[in-house]
Amino acid sequence: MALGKLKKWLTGKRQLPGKPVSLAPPPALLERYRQYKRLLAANSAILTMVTDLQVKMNEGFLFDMHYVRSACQRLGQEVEAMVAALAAMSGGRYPGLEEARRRVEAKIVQELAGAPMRPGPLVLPLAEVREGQFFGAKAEKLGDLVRLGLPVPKGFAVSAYAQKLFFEQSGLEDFIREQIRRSHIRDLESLKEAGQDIRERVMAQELPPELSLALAQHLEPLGPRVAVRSSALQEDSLFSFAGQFETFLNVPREKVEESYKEVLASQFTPRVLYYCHTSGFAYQELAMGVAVMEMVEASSAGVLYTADPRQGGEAAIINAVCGLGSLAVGGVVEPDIYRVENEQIVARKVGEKTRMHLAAPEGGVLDLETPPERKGACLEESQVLTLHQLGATLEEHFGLPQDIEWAMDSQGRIYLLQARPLRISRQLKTEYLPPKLKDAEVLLEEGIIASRGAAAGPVYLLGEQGVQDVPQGAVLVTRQALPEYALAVGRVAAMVCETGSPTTHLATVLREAGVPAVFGAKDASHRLQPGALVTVDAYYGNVYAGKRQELLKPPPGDQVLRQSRAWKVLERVLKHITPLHLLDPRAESFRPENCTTYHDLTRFGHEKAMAELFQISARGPEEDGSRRLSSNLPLELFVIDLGGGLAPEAKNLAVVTPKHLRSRPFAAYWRGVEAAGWRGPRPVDLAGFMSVVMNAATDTNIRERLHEKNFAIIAADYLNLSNRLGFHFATIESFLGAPEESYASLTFYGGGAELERRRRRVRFLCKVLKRLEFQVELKRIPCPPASAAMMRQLWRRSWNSWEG
Amino acid sequence: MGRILAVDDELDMLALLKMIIEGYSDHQVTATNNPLEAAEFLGKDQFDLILTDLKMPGMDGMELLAAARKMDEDALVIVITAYGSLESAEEAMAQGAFDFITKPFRKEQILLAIDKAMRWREMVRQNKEMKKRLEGEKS
Repeated sequence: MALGKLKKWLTGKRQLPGKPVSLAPPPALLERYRQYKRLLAANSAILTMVTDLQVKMNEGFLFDMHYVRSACQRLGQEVEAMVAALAAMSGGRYPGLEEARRRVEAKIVQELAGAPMRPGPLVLPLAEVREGQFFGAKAEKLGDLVRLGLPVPKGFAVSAYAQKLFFEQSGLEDFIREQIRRSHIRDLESLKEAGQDIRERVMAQELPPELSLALAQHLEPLGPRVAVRSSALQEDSLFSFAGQFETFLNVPREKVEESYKEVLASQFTPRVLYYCHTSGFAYQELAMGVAVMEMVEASSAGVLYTADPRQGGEAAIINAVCGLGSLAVGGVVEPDIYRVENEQIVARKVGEKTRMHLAAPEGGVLDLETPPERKGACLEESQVLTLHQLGATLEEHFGLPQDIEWAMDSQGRIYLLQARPLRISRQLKTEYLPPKLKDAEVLLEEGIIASRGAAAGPVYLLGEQGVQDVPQGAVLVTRQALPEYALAVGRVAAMVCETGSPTTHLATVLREAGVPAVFGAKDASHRLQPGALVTVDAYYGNVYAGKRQELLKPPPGDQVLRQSRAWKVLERVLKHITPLHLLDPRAESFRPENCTTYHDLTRFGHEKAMAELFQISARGPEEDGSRRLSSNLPLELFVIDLGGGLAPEAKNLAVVTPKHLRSRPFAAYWRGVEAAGWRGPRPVDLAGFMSVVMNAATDTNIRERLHEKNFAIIAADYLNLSNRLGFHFATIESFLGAPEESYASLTFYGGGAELERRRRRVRFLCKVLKRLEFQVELKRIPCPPASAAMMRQLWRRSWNSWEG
Repeated sequence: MGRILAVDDELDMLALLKMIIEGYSDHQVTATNNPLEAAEFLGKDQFDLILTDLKMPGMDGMELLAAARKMDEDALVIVITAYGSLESAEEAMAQGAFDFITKPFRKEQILLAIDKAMRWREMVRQNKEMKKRLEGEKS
């Protein structure tokens, strides 16, 4: 029967009356290919989006939470589509992948939502306040200072959780939500009124008894007067301008509860209520800690910058006023200003200081005219230098210049009241470097920036040796940008690849690790001499001879941008997106359950999709939809077109010719075969003939193969050809799309001859292919595989051989 | 040194704008997340430049642009648009916005756009002054 069908094909008369044979490709095959294309589209979208996120984070962009959220959402959708496509292609072979995807997604959602506010201590002594307990940045920093042994007034902090408890128990939360709901977003007055109502209601409520008790207990060891300071959770980045949160100085013990409530109430400004209208009311954003500290009877007070905020650099600026520090900033009075450089006061200016603030006997602050005897300099030289020393200690500990509030009592003892990172302004483009350095030997230019930065080191060309041998600090030079080179990322100073794009797996990993890399550097492996010291400039895509010190200075960091909440959230989210753990597809660990990032999922999905697609020929296609390819060569070949592989005029032809071929990989293959020509199986010598006959007689697989037809499953950009040339079987698969997703692979299954002859042939092919930069893997397996794992990579030419 | 009013309902963006502009230039920024409040500020104060997001609840950037232009026909407005909403940026330009910038943007982009606007403002001012002087001489 099969013979009859074959005859029909050979005659090309398949449109017999009564029983038309379909020329459409088998639906199952077509569906699989469609899923593959969908997966590729998702793969490339994911890598592009990940690249974009890394660039936005590291290259000085301003973005907000809306951007981070929507980018994560789009990315998540593509990953979901990719996993679904692989499931459809493989008939659900990797159930673990969807589970892994859900785990990663859940982590990202959690990072975006922020840490939920969990019940915790309501009040803690400053020494015990640490990050992550919801006491707010100011109180947490004070806790650090106390633990460092620095002079901080005795005190304690109230957690933001205490506010939550207060608002929940007193019904304030419901009241606030109702006020927000009732106010009109287009009516500023109604927002103001709502804010006023909320503030009044906050002041009117009693604190929860346990909070009241804790406050009383912690106030007990403190002096009779305290300062009550807000310590917002989002202090610097978010609501700092949405309302100046209150600070109350010189508060008598019995009024602390009231001041505490006033600090909380100060949050509900019209701006905040406007924000809540659209974003809702959430304690993570609208709750604050409060620091309560013993009042320093200040004779003078002020602010200390451990660097010059206009220029940065080695200078401390101290300003000082008489009495309390509340007039030190804000421009009401002209403070004293001291500039300290190299442990010496280099400039001193005694300010006018027309007015001063003092602690009032009944509580609160007195605003007075400064008496003439106090109008001189507030600080002695030694006190200025002591302050400078304290500042230097803080800066060294936190690794950043600091902005510190201080006060000094009548005995000259200095106290630190608050510290936060100093914002340093810089002039734009102070350290401009031209795209190409003058007086430098350019070894390579116009490469693509795969990972920004610059680094120098000796060139190491990747050849026969594996990436595990790359020495520490080398500039690794490779022909291709293969994902497994990521194994060397921890050791190399920089990377240069002749091919590749910024959206490859490798580039993503390099950016993640901050390793500078230039891709698409043509001829790099010839132009860069092994061992030569070079500088890779991955700002402009050049490689220079020698060490170019001017490039190696890190550019002025955008500390300001990095303090924004959106930046911090993106940094956390990217930890679940960009790292790649599944580097080597041959490794035992290359499994769905080991995918812990979107990058892992993408890599796994793509790798397995290629393997799944390869299987379409191994399963033996149906004869449906196949047409005979008629040519001058003695090849019996049938073509199944999944779309775009044949010219439109061949649509209804049961027999097609090479001129109908539109599949780019197949057309390329055919050009090669035609050029080399093939006259059919070569006559074999007697020994060879006997070996074939003997093997064919004993090996049923070989005999089966001899009876198989040759199929080419093609599409515009795809070729999957199972080909038998005489006794030699090979499968050629190729996808020709974007550079990152293109590949060609050859699987040679040995032939019909006896083992030693087959081995020799394999060794020969192996050498030829290696020279052509194919990745070659030899496998010895008992019988030709139907489902053996395939090894292919992005933009990799690979070759597999099974010695039967 | 100029005075800038920045309006964006996204608080992170607003905080960043203020920090970046004040950190890298001599301009002073008044920032609000509420466009209604921004309109109120415009009535009370003089600003050299307005930076506003386009899509905001309550009152969108286009309305604010119209309000600003109504109060002062020379009002300079740079609109900030989300990625992929070029049409609204074009519409804003047609309604008299001086420039637009698409989120996310690099800090250099916004600083250069501000610089350009400020120089334009100075030129317009000088131009007016000269015209006035010319007319004075004529009569």
